[in-house]
Amino acid sequence: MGIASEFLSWDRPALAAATEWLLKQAAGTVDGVVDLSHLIVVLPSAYAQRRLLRRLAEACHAAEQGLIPPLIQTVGALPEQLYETKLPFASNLVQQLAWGQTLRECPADELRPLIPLPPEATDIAAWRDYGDTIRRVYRELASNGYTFEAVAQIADQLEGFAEHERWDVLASLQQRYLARLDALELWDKQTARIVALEHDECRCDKRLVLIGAVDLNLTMRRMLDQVAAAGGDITALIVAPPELADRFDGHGCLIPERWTSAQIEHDWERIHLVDGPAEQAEQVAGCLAELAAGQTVKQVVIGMPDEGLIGEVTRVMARHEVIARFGPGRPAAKSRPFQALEIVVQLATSGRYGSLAELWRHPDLFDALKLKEPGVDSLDAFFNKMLPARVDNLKDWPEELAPAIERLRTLTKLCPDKPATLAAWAETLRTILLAIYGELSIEVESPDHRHLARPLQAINKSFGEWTDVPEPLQGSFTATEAVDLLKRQMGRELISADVDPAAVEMVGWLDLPLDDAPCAIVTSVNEGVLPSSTNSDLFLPNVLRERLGIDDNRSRLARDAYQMQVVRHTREIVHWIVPKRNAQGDPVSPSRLLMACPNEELPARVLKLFGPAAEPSNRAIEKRELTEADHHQRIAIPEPKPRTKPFTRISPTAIKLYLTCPYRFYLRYVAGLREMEDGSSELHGGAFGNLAHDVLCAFGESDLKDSTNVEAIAGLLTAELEKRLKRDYGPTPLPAVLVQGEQLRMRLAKFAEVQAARAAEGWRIMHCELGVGEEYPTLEVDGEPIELDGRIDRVDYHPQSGQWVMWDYKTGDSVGRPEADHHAGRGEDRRWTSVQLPFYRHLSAHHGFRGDVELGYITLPKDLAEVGFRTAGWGESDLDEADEVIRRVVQLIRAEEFFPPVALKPNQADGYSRICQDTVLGKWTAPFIPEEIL
Amino acid sequence: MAPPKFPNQLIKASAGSGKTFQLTNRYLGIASATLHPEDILATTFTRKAAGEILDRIMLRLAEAAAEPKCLAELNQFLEGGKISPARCLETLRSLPDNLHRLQVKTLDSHFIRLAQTFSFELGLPPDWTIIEDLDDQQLRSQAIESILAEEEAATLISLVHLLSKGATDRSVSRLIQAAVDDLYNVLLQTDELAWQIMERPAAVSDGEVESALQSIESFPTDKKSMKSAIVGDCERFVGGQWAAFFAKGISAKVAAGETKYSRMEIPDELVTPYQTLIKAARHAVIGTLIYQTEAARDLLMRFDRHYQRLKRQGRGYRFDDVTRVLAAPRFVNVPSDNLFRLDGRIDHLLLDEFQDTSPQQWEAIRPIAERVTDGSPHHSFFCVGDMKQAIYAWRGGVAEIFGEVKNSLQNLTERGLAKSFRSSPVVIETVNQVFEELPRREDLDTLHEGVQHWSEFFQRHETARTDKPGYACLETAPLDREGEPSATAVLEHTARKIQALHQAAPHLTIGVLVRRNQTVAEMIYHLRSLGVPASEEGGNPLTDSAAVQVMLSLLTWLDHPGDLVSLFHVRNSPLALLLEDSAQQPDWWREKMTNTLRRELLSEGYGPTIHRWAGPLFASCNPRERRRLEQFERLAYGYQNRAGLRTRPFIQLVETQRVADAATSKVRVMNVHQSKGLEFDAVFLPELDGRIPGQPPSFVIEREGATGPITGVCHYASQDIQSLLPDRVQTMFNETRRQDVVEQLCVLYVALTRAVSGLYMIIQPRKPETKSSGIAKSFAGLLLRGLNPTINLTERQTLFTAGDAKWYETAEVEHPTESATPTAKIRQPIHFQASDAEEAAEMIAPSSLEGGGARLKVTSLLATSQESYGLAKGQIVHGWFERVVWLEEATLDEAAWLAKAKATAGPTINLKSAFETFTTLLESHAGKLVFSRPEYEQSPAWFAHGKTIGQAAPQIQVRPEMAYTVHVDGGYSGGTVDRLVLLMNGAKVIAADIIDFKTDSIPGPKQLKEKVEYYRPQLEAYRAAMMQMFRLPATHVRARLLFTASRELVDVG
Ligand code: SF4
Repeated sequence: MGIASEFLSWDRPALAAATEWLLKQAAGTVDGVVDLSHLIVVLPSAYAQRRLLRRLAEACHAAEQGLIPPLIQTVGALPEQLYETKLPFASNLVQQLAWGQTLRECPADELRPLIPLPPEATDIAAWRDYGDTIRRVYRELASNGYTFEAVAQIADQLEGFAEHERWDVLASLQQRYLARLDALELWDKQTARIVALEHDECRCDKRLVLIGAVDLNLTMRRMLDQVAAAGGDITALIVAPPELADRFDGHGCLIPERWTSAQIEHDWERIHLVDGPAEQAEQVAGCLAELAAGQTVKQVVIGMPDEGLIGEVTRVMARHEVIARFGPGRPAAKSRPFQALEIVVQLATSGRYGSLAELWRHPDLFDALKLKEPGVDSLDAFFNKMLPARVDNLKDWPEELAPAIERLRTLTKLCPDKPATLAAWAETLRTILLAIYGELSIEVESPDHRHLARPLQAINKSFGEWTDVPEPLQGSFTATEAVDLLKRQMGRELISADVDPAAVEMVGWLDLPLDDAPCAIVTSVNEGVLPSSTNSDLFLPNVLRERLGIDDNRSRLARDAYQMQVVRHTREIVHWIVPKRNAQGDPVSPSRLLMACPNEELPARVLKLFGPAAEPSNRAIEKRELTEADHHQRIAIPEPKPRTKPFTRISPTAIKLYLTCPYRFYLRYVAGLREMEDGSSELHGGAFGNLAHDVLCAFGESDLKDSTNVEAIAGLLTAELEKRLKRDYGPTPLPAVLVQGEQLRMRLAKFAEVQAARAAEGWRIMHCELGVGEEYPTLEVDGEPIELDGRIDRVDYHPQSGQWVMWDYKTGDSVGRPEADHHAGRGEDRRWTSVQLPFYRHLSAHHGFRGDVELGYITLPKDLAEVGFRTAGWGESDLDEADEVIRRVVQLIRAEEFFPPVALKPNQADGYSRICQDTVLGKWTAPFIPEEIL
Repeated sequence: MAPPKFPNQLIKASAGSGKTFQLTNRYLGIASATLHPEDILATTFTRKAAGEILDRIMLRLAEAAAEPKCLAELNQFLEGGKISPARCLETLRSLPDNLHRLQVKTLDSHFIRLAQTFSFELGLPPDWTIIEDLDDQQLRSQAIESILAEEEAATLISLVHLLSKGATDRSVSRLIQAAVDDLYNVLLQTDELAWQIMERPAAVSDGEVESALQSIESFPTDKKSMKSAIVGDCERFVGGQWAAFFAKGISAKVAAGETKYSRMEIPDELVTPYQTLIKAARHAVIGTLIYQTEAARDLLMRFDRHYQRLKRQGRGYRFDDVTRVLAAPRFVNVPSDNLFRLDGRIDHLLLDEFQDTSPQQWEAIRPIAERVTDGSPHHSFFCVGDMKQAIYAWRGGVAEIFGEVKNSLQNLTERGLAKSFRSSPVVIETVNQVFEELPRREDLDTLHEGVQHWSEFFQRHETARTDKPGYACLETAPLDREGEPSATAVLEHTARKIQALHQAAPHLTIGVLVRRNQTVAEMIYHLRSLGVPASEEGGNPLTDSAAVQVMLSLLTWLDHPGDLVSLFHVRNSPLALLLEDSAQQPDWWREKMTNTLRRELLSEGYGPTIHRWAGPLFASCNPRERRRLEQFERLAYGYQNRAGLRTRPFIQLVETQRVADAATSKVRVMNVHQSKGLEFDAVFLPELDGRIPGQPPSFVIEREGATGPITGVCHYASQDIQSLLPDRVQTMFNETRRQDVVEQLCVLYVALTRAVSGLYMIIQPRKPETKSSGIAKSFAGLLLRGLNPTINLTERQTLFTAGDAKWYETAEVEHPTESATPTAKIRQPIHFQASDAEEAAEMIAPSSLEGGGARLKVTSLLATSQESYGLAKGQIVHGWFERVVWLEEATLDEAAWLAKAKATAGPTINLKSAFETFTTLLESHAGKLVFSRPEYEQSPAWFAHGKTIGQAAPQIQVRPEMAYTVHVDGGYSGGTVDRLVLLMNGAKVIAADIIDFKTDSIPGPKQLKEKVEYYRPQLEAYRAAMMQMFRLPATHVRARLLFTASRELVDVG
């Protein structure tokens, strides 16, 4: 008996027709029940499987009948229904490992034609990847009944084939691979099928119904033939009208040439040529808007041949308040449990601060380790103080962090630093997950079911596979390798999206023909996707595929041509969206299938398809002319609120900030805002400066302060520097910090020279880091005193001349004259931008330094030639002018004049720039209020 | 008919002369002659250009196939002879038929395909991919971080010292970063030998130096100048100020071989000791240079180690990595030989923008070029480019590549194209004047060599657009407020001029071309402060939107709960809604809230989460802000798959990624490199005063031939000491200078030729009252030399004009825009027809009903392998039960049953004992109640009950593993009953008996009770289903659990 064909026609959804056909096959054994248990129904995909079952159930429900469903299988799982399996199959993982080990143990000389640059023998991951590549080739060939050896013989007849050696290696590897599985009493699935064929074991005592299975591989076809020959009952349901019978072969599969040359009609109104991904998404919304009026969400389906587009389409649809659902969902590798596991292992193995900082921010670890109390903020603060690179050897944790770190240590200790077997890792990693999540129980109906329960199940399934890997392949994995393996497995494990009755479904191209929604929007109708093609290849270029009769460009074209026809004919409305650029931004051509037409029509089609992209048409976008108001920024810069604390004191830093931007002054000193970040990998400018200040102050207070001995001064500075580095950054600081310390030491050494010379001139250091003392000096402004706050870095005195100098240390990489730092512009236009040094004058008076007082910088920049003392050349009138500025600023602050912010140039942007909209195009301005209202 | 032969051609085309047109002519010629377009490889540099070339090819052919007029026009230009309408159609058909094999692409994508096909041979990991720029930068910083964290501090200190040229920079990472940026590429192309090009000259002993110093210092002289020179020289020598030592004093003279110092003869008693010092100084100078060069290599090698490891881990590679492996000598000949794997041939090679090809790229493509220039009539080679536009030297391009092609390929003809189809006569004449005059100037000095070299490529330009109005001017900006010439003053002045032009002619496109990226931002700032809407080429980062800034503050805050600035920003924005904020928050509120936000971000992914968060902002957005916020969402969706636990990388992405605003403005600001291939009605050049040659590079390199491999590397040395170095190294310095000048001229040329009609060049005036020695060495200086050699430039001085200053009044619009009036676009909700419940019904996956169904314990989700072992065992036992309809009818042949189970069992399960358990159960009381037909029939209560229902004795039907599907609330649900026994009256079911097997071990009665409760919901579900399916009352459906280990049968209802 052969395989019977039934043509379902294609003037309605394929599964509707199939359902009807199937219901007719019911065995009438039980009253009121449709009993299809004698059937095995085979479909191309799991999606179609679900849809068919639903259709059957629906039909029976409508007819008030019970349903005993048939066994529904995907094409891929069918073979194992047809013969008796005798040994357990090697899982994908076992196959990968077996291939990897086969390759790894192959002597380099022998392997050379295949892998001329082999990875290190210890690099298990690299070998596994090589193994996986070869496994995939092997699988494809074997599923068509070919061995590497057979392929090599066939390829020999091809032009330019010069790879015999390489394929010989593959052939010999294949033997070793199979021998390896044999020894483990495992079966390679592909081989098992071929053996079953060879022994004429393929049988099926149920009735087989194939639906829409139009491109079965060679082994599958032979198995079906064998079943049929032994009297098996097989029917192929073909989604096409009977007139096209000559385009299908005896297995109900496509005859490629009959399809590749076939012409395809198109409704040009519904072909949309658009530019890139954004425009595709826009056009999807446009089509939906058009369809919405007459359809329900479930009557429309979106075909997504290129999954890269899903995000963009989802986004645009969401903006139109339509939910898009992509059933397969997100990979488990992106789930919270996996990420928790990954970061714990990362920290345990790397010991880097960066890993700790990440871990601290994992929401589940944050809860499990009770990190709320110390918080992220404490960790940030700790980092900025200590700049640790590694945290594994750190002992002196600040008090507030120590308990949490202890809890964390208990967790990371679970992860050993020695390599171990996969089975051992399964246990270890499971223990870690239990330590994080073990207390939880998860409600089935809650989102956590998708976020936690299912990923955990998926992970645990992999652990099960690890445990089942036979002993000789268990290998020896480091923690990182084990997690990397899990990551790859979890990358393929998709956590499906929740069912949503309000969502429009997005489906892949392969699932589209058997989907039963009456309207479809097909995206990415471009060459390379519809159809995809392989030309050059590492192993199986198209010429070879053609020769072997396995999936090649021609059969892909045929399949997509057929599918396009099915999609077109089985629905009421289909929109095709053709992009000029794909999601990666590469230019793409429209699908060949859009040009499957008589030659006379071709020029017109090409002119349309290669012309400029059209603007997407979306009637759900309301367009109106821009009004004046449309140009106004509506996101306000927050206006200052009235001060709650009295303003009594001012410092030169605060004045400088006010002079830069009064609003920033408000944010910093009135609203009391501070920034926080943890981005540095070395001392930033501030910390570097503080370090220098501390060392210089220690010198200024030492016995050597008036020394003229360069070596002695330099020695002291170096010692002080080292002491501070040790104190502040631990016994083993970040090497970068040590290098920076060395840079600073050189600056200090140079400073020692100029300082000694200065002392030789008779100058004496009188004070260092001189603060205000008991009582704040005050300045009368408008009859009201304001306290002055500040600290003079250093005060020098020259006993012979009676002169005083107030010094400020400057440790930036480059420094200028004090004047250049204090004002901009010249002559009439001169503006004070800082009053720091003039401000010192008041402090000095407060301390009672009588006589001539000079002001200046001691500079320690990166260019050592610039290390030295620079006094400012201001006269009395200049300083009076500066005092005026101080007074004015105090008045303005008292008047709470803080608005609006000053726009800073792009290279001056600071932490407040976001609030101040510095980089914003069309930034906010306070609404104009006509004067009469005021 | 033998196909016509296409000459191997090298076309030197000038700007705007239609390179692409020539290339498509060639392409169409070959395609129509051979009907095998798939054998042509046509490459260019940008993806956009590649797309446009293919479009042009298709359209020209389709037009010709549709319209005889167009065919006639095509035939005029077609290389290889005219074609008939039929041939035209045939050719057109050959293109879509081969669409999947056409090779019109970027050079990079060609290389990627090669590298994928040969990845094993190239040593690339099997599943490598191209890495995104931003990710690569992150890898690089990570590698630098690793160096800073892991290398020995002492080593680092000495390396850093050598690198920082004596300065003491605070930031070490920035230093290393700079070294990596400058040199890493060089490292990859060189071996150790290339870094050792100098030998240290013989040392001078301390004693010799000492005595030389002594004899100099004690040299008796009464000449004051001589004395002070000697003191200075010694000081400089002792202080190790080598540059000064060789530049000043007597030492400079002696070193230069001169005999006099300030017109005094240098006595011999001095010359000899001086020579000793000079020798010692030379030793020191060259020694330092050698150390510095070696240190750089050492550091880069360390970087390389970390960086390569990271790349291997991530399996991500850069385009130039791919090119490099392909260009490596051991690989060069593999691919072109291997027709098999490539599955296609390349008979014709067409290369566009050839001047931008790097030596490595050429090396990788050369085998094909050599093959197609073998003189065969079936092969051809075509390459087009403009050496005058070779502005990518920083990316590895070397203009000399043209010469290299000419030398290494046979049968090549050369052709020039100098007629512009872009610019007006005024612009073209200005260009001619500048570049024709330049080489004649005598005041070029260090620029001389470069200018001469460049001018060899220049031929007088013409234009086809003779009727186009135009205007060109060169003028100085005012001095700044401080009375100084300044770059900012030029920008401000330019901004005002642009404002005026834009107001007068808003329809015109204006390109503002600058040199540095930082200037782009500054220029935009000035334009915007004047209210001129200006966009950066390729768009600005989204930070130009206030809404996006608020979102970034939110993302910053959730990464740093202590960042009060960000919190303030969020709190005072529409996003405050998200914070569930209230006035009096406890201290830990910030920590808790941020963790909640982080959880959402991680659970749902960036796209949907940011979409939700941005919701409240949309209401406060004007149309432009709304567009930008949507683009921000796009970035978030696109970023989703790369996201980790911290938000900083995403924020960095947003801050750096340029996103063009859909409504691009007419005024675009960019650097000259970005302007390549573009044109504007008017071009403004406001940054012309940088020195040429520019900043000396930190290293100089030497190549074998103009484009050969790098053979030497040397750390930069200051001009003063260059003359001390070996000739070879001096040549390297000179060569570097010359190349820099050539490249600068290319940049200037590209900048000038972007203009269609208006060309505005604005330069700085001189500082008043300063004496100047001549025209500056800068773009400004070059333009002055060409257009008006003036030395004393005052402010606001017009130095050159040509054409009509009001040109724009007569200029037509070159680039009409799509929509004349800007519109606001507002998305409306899309409403579908309401769907009924039935339609929305789905297959509901039977979520586990065990254990009450509502809650899952994580401990059971993570059941250990011990339990999964139980599962496999359970499966086997189930399988066996399935095969037993009635005990009496079954043949329990142990060997056969065990064999069947083997496939499921795997090595760990003891099948024998499992089988024993199984048979023991069958024989047990409980087992018999279920499996023995006579026992079952006699089972009094149940069967009697059945009897009372039917009149006659009912038939019994056993259905092992029975699947069912029933309608439930909200959809359909299905399951499988382990063993269903139906009591039938004919075809009518009168009662159903459900048996479910459980393989759990039950130690005692208490556990049994627990287990029964645990499984009860599941069995209830089965019962309900069977009642529905067979329309039976509850009393007629029985459900029982059979515990196989303890051999107990329990009634569950
Ligand atoms: S980019 Fe423009 S100027 Fe350059 S070759 Fe193409 S058409 Fe000619």
